[in-house]
Amino acid sequence: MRKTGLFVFALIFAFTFSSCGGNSSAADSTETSSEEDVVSVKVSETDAPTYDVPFPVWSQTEDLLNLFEQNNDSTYVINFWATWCKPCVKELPYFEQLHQEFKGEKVRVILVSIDFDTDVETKLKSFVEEHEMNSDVIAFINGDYNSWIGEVEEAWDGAIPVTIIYNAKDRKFFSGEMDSYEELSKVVEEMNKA
Amino acid sequence: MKNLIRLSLILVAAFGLWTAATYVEVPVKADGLEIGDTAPDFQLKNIDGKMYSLESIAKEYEKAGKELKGYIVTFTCNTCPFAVKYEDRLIAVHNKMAAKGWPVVAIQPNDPAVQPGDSMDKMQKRSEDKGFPFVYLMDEGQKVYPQYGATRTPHIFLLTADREVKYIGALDDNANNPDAVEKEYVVQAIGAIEEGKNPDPDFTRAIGCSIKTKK
Repeated sequence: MRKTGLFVFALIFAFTFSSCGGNSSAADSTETSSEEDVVSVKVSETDAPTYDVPFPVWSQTEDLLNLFEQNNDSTYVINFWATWCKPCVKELPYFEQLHQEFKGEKVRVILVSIDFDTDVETKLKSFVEEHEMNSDVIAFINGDYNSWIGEVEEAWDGAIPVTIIYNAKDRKFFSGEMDSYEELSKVVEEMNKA
Repeated sequence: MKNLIRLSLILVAAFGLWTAATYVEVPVKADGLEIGDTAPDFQLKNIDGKMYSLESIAKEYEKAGKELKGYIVTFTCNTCPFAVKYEDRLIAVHNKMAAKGWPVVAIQPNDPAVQPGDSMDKMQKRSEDKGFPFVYLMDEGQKVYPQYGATRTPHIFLLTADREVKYIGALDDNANNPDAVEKEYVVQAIGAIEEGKNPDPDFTRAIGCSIKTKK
């Protein structure tokens, strides 16, 4: 199931790259016949994750920013969290529930972990396994925070958790934790039907 | 025609209000300091039980016949992994810069009722264990951090002696690995100020733990 999800994800990326003529990576996407090829298009060549984990590990800002530029009819719910962040961990079940309850609808839940790179194969991996997380998890390990935080969201100065919910029509930025599942699902519902 | 224009203006305004009202965005900070602002002074209790203000620290310098050039006001705590990662570097920066007139002034902004690991007792213990050479003040009642606009730990506000804000952000560009640091933002900012220039960058974003408050 996870693999399928990632594959779809990869396809979206392949589409994004190939539809964006000005992108320097576009040339790489001409031959995307097998899943491996598609995945290799998804992340920058320099990203080449060498982590033994069942989720993608990215370090390139352009890969992260691509998550926020999916121009299609889905609503994206992207949460930044870390295993060491108590309020983040507290609200994670809301996002997992969202992923479950909006299955079959055009809603994508992506949980971007910013755990330290040295914790990815240990703390983060075991956390994801222990909690049997079903939403897409991405580890983003670029520690030069100032270079990318403002690119993701001008109003974000780095405290986590934060959540960005967007689709082709609207974009909302939430700083701090969600108080309940209802608070989260209400926003997604409204945006998804708008 | 005039009426029609007026009506459409009203409709546009009403629509604007409606969308504004339904837009449930939580602001990062309601207010807070910006570069060039004058930071407020405070009276906060140190781990040694004594009250400190920026002014009192300046007076200590004066008494010792040394010149105070500014303050490295650092919102930090015991419990945030990022803050902990920076403890040794904060000590090093203080040891290097305090003698040159730039002491670290550490303030713990979390509510200990929400984050018991940040109680005065625990602050004392942490300071003892690490041998903090700087003051470690409790933001009792959490009145200081909102005035500064601190949102996370660690969060640094570099002030001149007359409390002008010169730099806001992180200590350097690599929280996890001190050996991989390329830009020592605070040290570089102090260098710029001492040359009569404005720091560049004067603002950096960094991951950190949100400041813990009662809901």
